[in-house]
Amino acid sequence: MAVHTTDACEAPILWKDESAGAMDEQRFQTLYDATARPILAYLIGVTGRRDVADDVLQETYCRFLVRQPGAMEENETRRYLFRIATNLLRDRWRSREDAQLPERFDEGYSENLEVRQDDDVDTQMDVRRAMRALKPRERELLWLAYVEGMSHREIAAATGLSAMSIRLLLFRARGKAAGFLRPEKGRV
Amino acid sequence: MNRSRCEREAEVVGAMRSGAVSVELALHMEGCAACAETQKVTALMLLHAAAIQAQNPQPPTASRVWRRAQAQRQADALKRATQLLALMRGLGVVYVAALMVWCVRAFWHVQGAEMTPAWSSLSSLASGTVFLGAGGAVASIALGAWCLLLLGKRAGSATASP
Repeated sequence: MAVHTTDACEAPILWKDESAGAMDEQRFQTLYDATARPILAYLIGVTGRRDVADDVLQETYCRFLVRQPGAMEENETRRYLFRIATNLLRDRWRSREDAQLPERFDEGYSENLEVRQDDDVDTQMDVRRAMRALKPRERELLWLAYVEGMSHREIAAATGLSAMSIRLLLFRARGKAAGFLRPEKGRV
Repeated sequence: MNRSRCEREAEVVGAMRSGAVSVELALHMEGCAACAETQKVTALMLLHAAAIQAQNPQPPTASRVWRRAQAQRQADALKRATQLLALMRGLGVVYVAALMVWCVRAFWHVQGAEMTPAWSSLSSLASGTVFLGAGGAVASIALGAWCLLLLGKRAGSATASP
């Protein structure tokens, strides 16, 4: 049995199921390197707050490691991680401590949406206005669909909703977001 | 094809994400309300993502997350292991409280016995309360011993596994 020590406690930890195919640190490192950046970007994109995104990201991987799911394909693992992250975000929003979070989008991380030299000022303002106006659930769905390029079925797996609900909610969110864009914008 | 749904929406998203929109698809988007809206919103979201990526946010190191997970796992294991002990401690408190109540009652009985015949005092000592208290003590001791044995067996099997 492998024995590890932690910073939190010097006593050795016994990972009794490690020999049964559970993830070791090397495998975790590989998985983390491949998936952490897109999930962090997703969390920042949805919450608009770097501190919350960092915390939820760490908690996401902790939950993943503690649950130790069986063997999964790469895409399946990715969706599973997005699902954990999405659920954790929802838990935070439901809790009293972060009850104001959805209304405080981009507070403390607004520099991300500052106008960049190569982007049109109006378009940047559109982006900021749309992100502030959208609900967290809508930002989640739009991000997963249009930034991550997930299908309705994949979004359903990542959010725990049905594919039919995703279709309807995504249509509404898309229409709402489009309402914040000027007609000539959106052409890339 | 209608405003809410077009079978080429996924294709539009894919093309926007790769940055390679074919002429044919561009023509289609001009005539399809759903795809045009999808294109606009995809552009919006990609811009939003690009603004975040431009800041190059670095996730915490994998080793830091690994250590946090280990600490969390250890805390969970400790919590599970101590749940039963906490239960036994609670039962112990309840038993002591019940014993104290019984003692107070017995004390009043003994004081009252000075005025009654001896056989009456013996009868009160042999009452159901005594047997109930003794039975409770034996049951508690047996339950506690069984729990400790069970915990010991579990700890032993976990240590013995490779």
